Amino acid sequence: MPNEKSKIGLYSLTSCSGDILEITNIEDKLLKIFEISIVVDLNIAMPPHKDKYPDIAFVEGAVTQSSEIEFLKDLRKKVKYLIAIGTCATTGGVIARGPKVRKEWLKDVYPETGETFKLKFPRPIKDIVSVDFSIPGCPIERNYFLHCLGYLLKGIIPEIPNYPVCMECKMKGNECLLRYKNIPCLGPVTKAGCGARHPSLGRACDGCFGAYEDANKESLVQIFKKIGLSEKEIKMRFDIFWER
Amino acid sequence: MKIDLINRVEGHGRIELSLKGKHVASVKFDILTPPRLFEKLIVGRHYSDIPTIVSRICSICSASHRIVSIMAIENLFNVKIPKEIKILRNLLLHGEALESHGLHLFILSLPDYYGKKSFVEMAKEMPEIVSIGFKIKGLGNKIQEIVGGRAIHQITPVVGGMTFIPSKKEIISIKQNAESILEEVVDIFKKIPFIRFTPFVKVKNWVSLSGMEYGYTGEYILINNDEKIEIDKFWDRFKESSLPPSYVKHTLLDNKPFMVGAFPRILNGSNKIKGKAFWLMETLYFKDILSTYMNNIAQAIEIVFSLEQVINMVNELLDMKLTQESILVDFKPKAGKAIAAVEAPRGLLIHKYNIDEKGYILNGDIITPTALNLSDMEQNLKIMAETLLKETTDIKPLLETLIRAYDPCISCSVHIFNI
Repeated sequence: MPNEKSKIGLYSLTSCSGDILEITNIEDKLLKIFEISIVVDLNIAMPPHKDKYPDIAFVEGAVTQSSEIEFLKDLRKKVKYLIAIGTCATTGGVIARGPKVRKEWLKDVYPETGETFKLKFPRPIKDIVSVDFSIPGCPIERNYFLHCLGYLLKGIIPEIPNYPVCMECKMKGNECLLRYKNIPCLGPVTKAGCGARHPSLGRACDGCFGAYEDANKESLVQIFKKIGLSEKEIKMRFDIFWER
Repeated sequence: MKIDLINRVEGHGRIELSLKGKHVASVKFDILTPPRLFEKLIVGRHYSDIPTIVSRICSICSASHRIVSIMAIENLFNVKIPKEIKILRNLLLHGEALESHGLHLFILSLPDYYGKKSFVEMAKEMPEIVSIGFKIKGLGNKIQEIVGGRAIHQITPVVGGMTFIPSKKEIISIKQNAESILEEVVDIFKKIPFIRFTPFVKVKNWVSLSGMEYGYTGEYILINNDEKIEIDKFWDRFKESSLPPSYVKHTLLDNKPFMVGAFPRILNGSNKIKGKAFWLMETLYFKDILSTYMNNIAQAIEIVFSLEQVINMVNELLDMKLTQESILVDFKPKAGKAIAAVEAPRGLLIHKYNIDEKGYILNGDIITPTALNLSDMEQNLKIMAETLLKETTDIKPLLETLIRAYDPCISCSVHIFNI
């Protein structure tokens, strides 16, 4: 074991704070993290530590403001590992929609002040600085996070699964929603890691972990057409999380 | 003077005070989490995707956002929901409240009461208190996982019912867990040195949902335990004003600020609280004291109330002998205004959508509790700052405790808007 404890920072950009909340859901094991490492930043639960920069930074949320861009560029220079956590941080997430109409939206929602907001289209962290790897999910899975943290504390970048949700769904022995119930599930094209949460509970996968490397979207689109979805319905199906 | 990035609150906020000597010229609670434009993200979407999208407004209140959006759509489509689904959804809301209150009270607020910087510091000297906080929060998450499929951004509740019904064994485990911590929780609340009385920051007007029973759903909006209004009349009675450069609009009642949250719920419904929660309320709560800090005591009472309710609801579900894997009732979409309200852990939450005849969203309006509390927070910050400045210049820490007493949820608060 190394003598010096690693420093960890958990940061939140534009988001619902769900990934960091999911980390607090580790409950009493959360205190264990404070024992085996030095947590320098966790704004929801404590004031910042005197050592400003961590060795390992976990960042949730999409990038929408220049202050966030500056923050990331500074952080990248000072940390050993920068990890994007959650779908907003890895792809821009559910909010990265309507690139052309965003200015109008702001004016519509805030008639008096909308034009003064200097907001950028929500972008993933990797568009601004390099990330060492990403933990996807909306929200992330707490055990997946703990697994990755364990590796990182030993200086190893963990491998992440590169196979579809279907693998996990099969292992659970679920009846296929797409095949037997004509429910437009995104499991066949989505990265595994959640234990097939949605299909196990009777709902189509929404694709929040994003595409796995060899995903064949076109083939799934054909199946969706066959089960009777319109072009518009197919587009919307992929458009919640799966692709930007 | 600026108090940058208030910590131990959800999201990013800042207090900005303009001082003229010892007089406070202006005060602003600045929401730094930028707008994510959810009201626009839902336009053109099918109603069936709306609960999934709006749940992402906030992680702590994701169950409330999901349930209220489903209720709004079901109200419009005239969906008749069976009793067991109503109980399961209600159980989910109590799970959310236990998680949220457990987090806010024990992990975020209590360090103030013990003069500690964080729960980690507290855990070194009084591990038993922090541990109970995690037990309450953990039970809340367990309920949300068993009933909703996940602790954050739940899966099973959909328009028309629930896609998965938990097993008898799992439902019983919720009850056993609640029973096993109830005594411990009541005992700890007797020992905590709550800030009981801060005479200068008071609740002057308060608003919550109300109905036959105390809880997180209700039939009408109740103002100052006196005036009842229908939920769809909210927009006639409450008026919005936009004050730049904050990202959030201010909502006023007869041009006055008001408070929503746990304390307003108790002020409006204390006569409906029973059991150990009633006993605790009589022990901790003084009817004439309207200090804003009572909100934390109200959360303690609600934690005990929820533990007892969870046990009752599980008993009711067991009597119904649920055997189905899912319960989904038939309905047809129709055009019109979809409106519903719930009490999120931190107060009144209203969703309204206009939907076309095919079930696609034309526009929407989402009224969140932190946005409703904003004017009251600012008014009380000003009063508190002026009172404190008479004696000291070190006012930052106490102003932060006042903000925390409101239990603001900043992610939520950035979405208030007009149709």
